[in-house]
Amino acid sequence: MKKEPINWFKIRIIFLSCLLFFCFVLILGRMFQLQVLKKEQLYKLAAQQQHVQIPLVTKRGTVYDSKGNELAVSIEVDSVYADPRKVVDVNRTANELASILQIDRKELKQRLNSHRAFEWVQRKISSKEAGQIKTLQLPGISFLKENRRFYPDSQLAANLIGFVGLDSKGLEGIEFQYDALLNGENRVWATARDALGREIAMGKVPFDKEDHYRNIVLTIDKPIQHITETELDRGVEKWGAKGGMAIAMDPMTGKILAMVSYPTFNPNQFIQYRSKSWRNGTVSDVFEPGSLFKVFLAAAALEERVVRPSDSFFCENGSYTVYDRTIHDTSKYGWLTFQQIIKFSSNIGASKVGEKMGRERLYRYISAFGFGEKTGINLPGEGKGILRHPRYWPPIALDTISFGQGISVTGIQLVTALSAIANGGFLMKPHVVEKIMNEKGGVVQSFQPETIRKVVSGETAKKVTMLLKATTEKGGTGEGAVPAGYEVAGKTGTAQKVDSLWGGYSENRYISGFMGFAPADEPKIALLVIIDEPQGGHYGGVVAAPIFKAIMEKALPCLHVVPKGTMIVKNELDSAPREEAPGTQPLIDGIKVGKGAGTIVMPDLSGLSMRNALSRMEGRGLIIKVSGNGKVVEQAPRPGTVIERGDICYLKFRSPS
Amino acid sequence: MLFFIAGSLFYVWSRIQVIQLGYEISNALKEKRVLTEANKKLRLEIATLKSYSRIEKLAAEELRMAKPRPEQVIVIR
Repeated sequence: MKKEPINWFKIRIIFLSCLLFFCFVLILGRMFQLQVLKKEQLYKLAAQQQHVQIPLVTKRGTVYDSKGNELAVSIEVDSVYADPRKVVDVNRTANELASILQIDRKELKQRLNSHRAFEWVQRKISSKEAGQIKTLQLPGISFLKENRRFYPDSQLAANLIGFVGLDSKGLEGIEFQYDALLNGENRVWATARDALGREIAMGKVPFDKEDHYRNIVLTIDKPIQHITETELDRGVEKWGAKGGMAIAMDPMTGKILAMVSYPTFNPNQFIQYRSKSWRNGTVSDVFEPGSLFKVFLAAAALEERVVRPSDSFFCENGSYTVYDRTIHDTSKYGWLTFQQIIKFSSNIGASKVGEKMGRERLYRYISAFGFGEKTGINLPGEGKGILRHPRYWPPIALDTISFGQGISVTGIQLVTALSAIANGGFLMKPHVVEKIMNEKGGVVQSFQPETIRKVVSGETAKKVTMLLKATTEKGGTGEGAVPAGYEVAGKTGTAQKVDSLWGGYSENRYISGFMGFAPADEPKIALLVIIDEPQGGHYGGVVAAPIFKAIMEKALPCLHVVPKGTMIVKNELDSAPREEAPGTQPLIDGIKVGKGAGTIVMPDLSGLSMRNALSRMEGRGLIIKVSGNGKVVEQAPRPGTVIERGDICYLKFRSPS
Repeated sequence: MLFFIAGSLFYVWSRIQVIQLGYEISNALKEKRVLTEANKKLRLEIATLKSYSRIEKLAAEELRMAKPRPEQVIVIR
């Protein structure tokens, strides 16, 4: 038999095919393993490498004043942290960092020697410090972006705005109350990354989505806030007082224009101040209003027609005993009319008016004016004062409450109630937030003026305004509160503080106050000034009234209310094209400015005949005094001056010959 | 065949373009964030410099300015 030759070729082919098949099975198996068995796990791994999620720093909304000035802004700053396991030279690192950041070297070294993966070195450092550290390229030292809150105006409105803690959490004031709105959500920025770690925008481009944080616009008027703050500070320092507060409100709408509480602090370095300075006393502190309260007694009594301003009361020559207590006046008075009781601030007179009112009725009006309940201004820590139901009043309470003892109020309650007198009897809800906006500037929510209730009639409000105007006239207690060229309606108040140690009233600790509004006939600002424990003088008319005057004097022009006697000149350049428009009259010709204010501008009459001159002055309620005859050669006041009904105008005529 | 090759080359080219643009977009977005932040910092600086207490101090102490008395004020409308 012939041995068949072994076909090596065939065997090789079979062997190779087997090998190939085996490899194929291996690959297939591996593929199955990767694509099917470990699919989930590998997908995740890939996603982790390709997709990065960069956490964006939580943004926090800005707080603006009513004119759009920034009052609180958040800026991204660097925070330095260390991974102590990666730090190579602990000594050198600690030395360098400590000298740049001016922090304790020993303590830092201790932290760098710990075995944790993360240690803060210093949070929220300046960009200059960050730059210095970055150039050193220290191993194990890295940076994180964090938001830091800045208050560009330092202490301006600090007690109102409050401040933010290290972790972007509002701790006081507006920052606290609107924390949830101001703070955005924690956001991540998802993007893809290539093998070199560069970012590629893939698929949907991650444009900023909207609506994450809100900006808040306050009703505060920065110039007025600044004026109020400066003048109150000056007043508190002058009288060596313990504290003070001032609130300016637009009486027509209930908008807070300025809100100042003293002592104050710098929110950029809030930690350096005592927590007492952080409070907003205007809404949280309660005190006895003293004579300031007579305003509301007067409103109640006039509304109920219990008295008329001309009714007379006997003021017992300064000492009046009711039950077991004797009420005193600062000066001894005999018979006073109701108007004089308010003007000279007689406690005895007020008591007698209160007695005529009766408990229930007086209580009804006091609570209608908003005392004893929160005003709803929506600021943290608002107090509601102490107003008991008449059922629990001791017998003397009717008399004492009439002149503001035995009742406690907050500053915001007083100025809100005063605004009701100023605006014709409407109790407005005070508000300090004008609108809430989203990050694109769209308005999310805006707060309109809100009337809570009508407390007294417009007629009564007008009568009370007359009484308050008399108070600031010559001889009244509020004489010192009137800035030149304006009419002010207001009331002084001096209250003895309740002695917490001994009970009863303290002999030498007072609260001096003044509240009022101006201009009296068309109020633009209702203002309350309170000075807590002034030294060397305590009467509201002496301590608080001059501060009131100083604030009003500077704040009213900010609202375009100019004092009487100011010259108003037409801007020729500006109004030249405007004159072509039908119906516009040149201002200098004595047309009214403002709406219905009764403000008239003195026209230029020079060179006119008597008949022409008089016809132009007629019908404006002016008293015209004429001398000489012929054409006008001189006139007083000068052309362009603001004049009022009832003013005297002198015209001097001379014949041209 | 030629058509097929041209088509696939075009497809590859377009994919490369997409990725290239992706890089550019992401750089632009990054730049935008940096610029927005820089803008905010500058605005803060403006606000700080505009602070009334600072300006009042400068006006009163360095420039010797004073508040006008009422009779020195002329309103122009």
